[in-house]
Amino acid sequence: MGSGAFTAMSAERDADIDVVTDENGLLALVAGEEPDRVYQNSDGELDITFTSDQGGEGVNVNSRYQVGSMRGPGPTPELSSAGQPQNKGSPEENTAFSVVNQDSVSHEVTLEYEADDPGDSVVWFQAVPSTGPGSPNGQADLEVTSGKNPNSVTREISPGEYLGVSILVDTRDGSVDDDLTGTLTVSGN
Amino acid sequence: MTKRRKFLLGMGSLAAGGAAAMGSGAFTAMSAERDADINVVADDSGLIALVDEQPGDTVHQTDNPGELAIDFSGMSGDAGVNVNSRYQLGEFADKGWALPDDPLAVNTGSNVMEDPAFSIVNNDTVNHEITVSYDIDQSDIGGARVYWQFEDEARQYTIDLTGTTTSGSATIDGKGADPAPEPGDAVGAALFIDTRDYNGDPDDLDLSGTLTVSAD
Repeated sequence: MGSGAFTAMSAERDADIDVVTDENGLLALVAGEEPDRVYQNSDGELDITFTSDQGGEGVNVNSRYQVGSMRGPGPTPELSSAGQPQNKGSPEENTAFSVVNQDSVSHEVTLEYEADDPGDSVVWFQAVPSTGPGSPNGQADLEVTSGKNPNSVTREISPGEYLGVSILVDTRDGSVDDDLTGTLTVSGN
Repeated sequence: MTKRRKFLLGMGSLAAGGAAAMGSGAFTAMSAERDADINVVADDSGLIALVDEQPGDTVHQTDNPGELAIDFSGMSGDAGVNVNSRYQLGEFADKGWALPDDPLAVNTGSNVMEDPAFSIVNNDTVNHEITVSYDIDQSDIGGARVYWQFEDEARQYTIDLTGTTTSGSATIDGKGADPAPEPGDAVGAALFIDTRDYNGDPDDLDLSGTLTVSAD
């Protein structure tokens, strides 16, 4: 009648925990269609760079640079308000990058950006869920500049849906001493 | 540019344990930090760079903010373009339709602008169509003329402003024969100013304006 005590037991079970590149993550970070500014680097990570191997070292002072489409009203005058940042393959709807929920449940996705020394220069991230800008959980405009650094936005993304993100850099009020270089943190809960 | 932190990718928990590992893989939390390199630089090192090509100060890059500027105000700060005169910055390529009357400096016999006032350089890794516009503050410049010539791959583009036409633009697009400015291309720009046909009071004429360079 005694309890079935045993001394040892062993059972092997499978756990599939492959480490993948950003574009294949459960919460995937997928570069858009302007591959030289936002791309997946050789480490498999999404990377944003406004330098080039042609000798471009950054964004000019007193200028604006945009990657991906933007919709208005949004960041202070966007360069092109045609379309919106949704990666559906048309040039009017391209993104700098997308955050794709490949999980089976919804996630609150937070984008946070912290710049090293933004001064009065500004970097904007416009994020639009694939469910549409007019949805209750719609368009988000994240502004990072001095006094708003770091800054973050959160949107809920359903399974199979994504957040399209475009980037606008505006240095019109800035100086060459500014540095918008920093860290983008994507987190999901 | 310095690359800062490499990567830190933590996963709070993975629902992959237990015998039923076939299930859908919902996760509780995820976080990933990624680098962005977005330095603010002077015009001569931008992805689309504006580079002073002249030795003097009429075209120059300011120390800070580091912007290309065209300035005829001289050492005193009060100088300008004389009435009844012509001034030119840079040398035009010799393409008849792309020249104003009586230019002062032409690269005779050549389609190429070898001595521009400044250059617009595509330092990006893809082609960009570049649009340049000049918008004079004043709405009527009478008989005065402001004439820009741009050159890329031996093709010319112009902006010709006089009378009440005080703003104009040129799109450097290769004209269907060449690609738009390619990586490494330098678009030359030269400027001609002619006040010989202006008959008013020089105090009433100011050709100052805003040069806008944009790229698609």
